Amino acid sequence: MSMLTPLWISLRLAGTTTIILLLIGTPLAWWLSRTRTCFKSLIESIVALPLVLPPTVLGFYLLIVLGSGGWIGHAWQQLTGSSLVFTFKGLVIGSVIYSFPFVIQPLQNAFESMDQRPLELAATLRASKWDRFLTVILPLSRRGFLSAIVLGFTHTLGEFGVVLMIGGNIPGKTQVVSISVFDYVEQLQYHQANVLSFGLLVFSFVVLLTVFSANRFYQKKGI
Amino acid sequence: MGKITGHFQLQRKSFLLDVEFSIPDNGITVVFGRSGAGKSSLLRCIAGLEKPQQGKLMVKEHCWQDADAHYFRPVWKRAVGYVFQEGYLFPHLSVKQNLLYGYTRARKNKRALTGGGVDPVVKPRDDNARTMPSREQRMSSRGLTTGSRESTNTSDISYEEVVEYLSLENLLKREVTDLSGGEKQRIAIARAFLTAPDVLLMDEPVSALDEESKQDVFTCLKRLREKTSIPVIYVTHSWREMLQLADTIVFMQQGKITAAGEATTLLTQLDLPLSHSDQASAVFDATVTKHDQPFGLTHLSFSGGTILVPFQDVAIKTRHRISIRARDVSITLKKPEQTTILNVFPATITEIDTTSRQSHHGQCLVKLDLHGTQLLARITRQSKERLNLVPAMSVYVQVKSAALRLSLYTKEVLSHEE
Repeated sequence: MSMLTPLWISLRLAGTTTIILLLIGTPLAWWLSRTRTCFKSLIESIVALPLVLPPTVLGFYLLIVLGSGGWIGHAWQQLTGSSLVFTFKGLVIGSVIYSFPFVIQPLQNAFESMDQRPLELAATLRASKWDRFLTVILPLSRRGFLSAIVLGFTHTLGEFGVVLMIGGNIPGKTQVVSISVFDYVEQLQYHQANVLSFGLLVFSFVVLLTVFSANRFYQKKGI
Repeated sequence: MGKITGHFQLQRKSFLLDVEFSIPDNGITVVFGRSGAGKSSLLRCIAGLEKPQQGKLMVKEHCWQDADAHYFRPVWKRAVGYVFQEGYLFPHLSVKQNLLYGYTRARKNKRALTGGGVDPVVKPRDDNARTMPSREQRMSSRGLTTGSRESTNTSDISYEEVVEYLSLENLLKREVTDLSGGEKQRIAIARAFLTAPDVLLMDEPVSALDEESKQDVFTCLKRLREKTSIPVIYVTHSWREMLQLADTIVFMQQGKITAAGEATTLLTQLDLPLSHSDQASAVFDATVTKHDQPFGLTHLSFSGGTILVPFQDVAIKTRHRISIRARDVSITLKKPEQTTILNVFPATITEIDTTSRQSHHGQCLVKLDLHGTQLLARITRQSKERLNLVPAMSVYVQVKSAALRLSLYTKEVLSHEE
């Protein structure tokens, strides 16, 4: 097995998680930014929980719920005949929950800071609701989306505790970069640990640099 | 042809909009009133941006909303053009994309809608429904006289035509964020026109602009209205804009329409608050007959005679709006022979209002008829007593040329109609 396998698993996990989070997070963030319901604070608190909980605590509860004895894990087992814990699917579910606030909050901020005017104007220019979303809301909140994507992706890439709890550490299946590095260090294989770590460091830096440059570009354009 | 009729009751925290209106489907209707009178709310209700608890709106033969029938046509399905105060352009689009945003959608929707079945069953217009203040009826008269142009209402105006008409060519290459307020507003107006709306709604479109930009925007509006006769509902609190633009005036106070009618008659009606304002003015249209270059004067003819104004760079035979403030008009019993005032016209006193208002204590308003043109004069009560002015008396009115204001918004060129 290649040393790069954990890296590949990490990227795949982060990518899948980010896409799922955007699909769930965008409508939820939009709703949170417009709603006046009294449940708003409640929902916001739940969304923000992963920010404050130790990853191991989150991982522990996920293990229980997703495990074959837990109600989700049990239902999944009945439906598909396979287990959720210690699989890639289980990792994705865990990561989605773990990185939830990192995607929701930038999106919600972007939507909340958005003026009513462009939306009203687009409506008077015959744009339907869906059309307005695609041609006005999305492009005008692209900085928010950029932040959400980057934070969601990199945060998933760096997770350790949750993955360890519900993914186990199965090489080639659920062993991600962060855990792999930990393993190498435990086995005193500093060279391998360094290769992986340095790769991740460079990757993260390049991503952030791109994002901040893009942000600056849009800021100059006044978007 | 149909008008724009309806009624709305919109309750906001400490504000109630309660209006019933009937607006002609040609010309410019100015919704006039102080800030907070509910002018913008009315406009937003018509566009569908507000959803009033009670309301009904008919635009020509289409029902746009009817609370009783639980029908509300969403904004994007209403054929409105809306121009906001600040001339908002989408910052993520180019100037051209901004112009085409509504244009392409309106055309697509139209094609989709021609299949019919859009309107709910429209009940026959109930003419006996709550009638407006009595002067309301006069509003229709104008609609009848110029009805022949209505057929062009729905005609499409192409993108190329608009760009050429408004000389927007050089703006197309510029960045949206680099445009001045006036340039933005011109593009915003063109963008609204390009959707070929049934009615164009303008919410204080020039209040944030300097004089020169205002002129540009008015010119732009005028050019487009030469091409299509889309009715315009124009909200403003500025006397000057109202006097320049209004064919019809809808006057609002505290969420209610307190007067509505043709500008020429409404402004001079002594029982209405407009004639008692400090800015009280009369308006009429006059045709340019000649330019007197040596003296720097322009001659215009109207029903009362020929009026001289400081030289204006306008073509002969074109028609222009002239407004005269009540406080710039004075009255004499005999025709003044030796006077510095050029504009002297014979007139008949039709009405005198001596009810004293706080701000004009000691003054009174005199309404005069100049062979069909109504003028207002504000004079002191002492003068009135001294000259013994009474209704039906023949007098002479004097107007200072320098006090005259020619509208920036030029009316259509007469020769076109001939």
